[in-house]
Amino acid sequence: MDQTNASRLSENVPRMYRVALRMVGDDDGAGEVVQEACVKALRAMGRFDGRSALSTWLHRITVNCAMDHLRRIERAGGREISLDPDGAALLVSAQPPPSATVDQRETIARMMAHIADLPDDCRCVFVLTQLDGYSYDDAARIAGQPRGTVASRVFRAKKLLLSQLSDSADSRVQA
Amino acid sequence: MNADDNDILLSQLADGELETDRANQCLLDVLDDADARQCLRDHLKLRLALTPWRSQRPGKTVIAAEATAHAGDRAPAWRRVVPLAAAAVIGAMLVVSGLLLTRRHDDPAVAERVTPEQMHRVAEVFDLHESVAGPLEWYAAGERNVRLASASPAERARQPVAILLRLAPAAGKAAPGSYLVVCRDGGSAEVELPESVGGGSGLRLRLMPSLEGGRIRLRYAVAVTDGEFPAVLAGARTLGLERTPLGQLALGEKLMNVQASAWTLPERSQ
Repeated sequence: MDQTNASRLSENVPRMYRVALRMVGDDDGAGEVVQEACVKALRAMGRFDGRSALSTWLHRITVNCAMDHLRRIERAGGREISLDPDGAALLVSAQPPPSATVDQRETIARMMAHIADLPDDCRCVFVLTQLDGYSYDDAARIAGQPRGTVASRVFRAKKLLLSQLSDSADSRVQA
Repeated sequence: MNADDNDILLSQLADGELETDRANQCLLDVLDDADARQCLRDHLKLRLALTPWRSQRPGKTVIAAEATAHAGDRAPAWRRVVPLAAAAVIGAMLVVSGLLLTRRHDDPAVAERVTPEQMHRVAEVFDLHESVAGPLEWYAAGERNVRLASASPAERARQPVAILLRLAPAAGKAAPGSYLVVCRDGGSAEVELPESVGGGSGLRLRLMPSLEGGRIRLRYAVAVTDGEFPAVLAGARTLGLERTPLGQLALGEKLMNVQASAWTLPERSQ
């Protein structure tokens, strides 16, 4: 591996961490998943043919490592998790980040509950772009959809979320 | 273009997904349309609400990794420094494993003895650094930094030895500091620790491990090099996977218990 590849991999670590965090649901577990994914990526970098974007390739490795982590937890008698075959839309963690303010935490917690209820096709691209931080182009490659489809599904997800958030705000006011 | 198409554009605008000219045109249209302004406001609020989530990073990520190339006539400077720079970059990720090691090591349930999993992880990380930087004379990882030095041809043949060093306050409940140093059998590693303990003084180590009848004999010196009260702890111990006391060291006003475990790493096949 040359320095450019190492540097590019390093740049992707925060996003890999977010993917791992939402999938495994805790900081320690996410750290382990990212490390395992980095080790695998560095070892396999020579075989990376460049046909897909590095970010897409690293996403796949991270998702696979997170899945392995979840399976290990399941086998060890831990929580039961419904394993989404590609993991793209898997959203285990509903815990807002500790760095967020009280208001932000409340908003994020409410949003996470609604995000989990989104239709699968919308949730997948919404999670990739709005939680993981992928661009629409990256999300399109990961989800195997045209960019235009990603844009319209993200929009549809936002519309549903805005409507649900507005409803829940109204119901809280009425209560 | 229908209303939904316009809203999809606004959604992309809020996500920063439009090219500059298109974004400008979109903004211009929005300025003259109250409904569109409200729609954009909603999308922006949604986007902003998830910013804290999207800004999350690994809690213990390394800020920087520093590479040290020893002076001398063993190799031309460029040959030693260039690969180290690459290793320093990946060090920013790989030290995470050192952290996991530290965290687990401080868990009372597993604190007294290095586990096979920890040994495996350390071997993996050292191996990976060598695969990038070439053979290393030593490798030292703290909680936020990695330092390493490349090996001379003679040093490459020597077996790597991992030493897990723990500095715990003799009194109080302050968290101990743990450091992983991998150096070579029969060699002498002089390492300035990547971080000082508890915000205290800088520490310098001199570690000289040697394999004697399958056991690891470590001669060591731990020196406080900065601050008002320089101090040195020196001695020799036979180490294994169990944590062994090396002595006590005054770090400023704190008295620290210095302990260590050690094991050999498998040599690289190449």
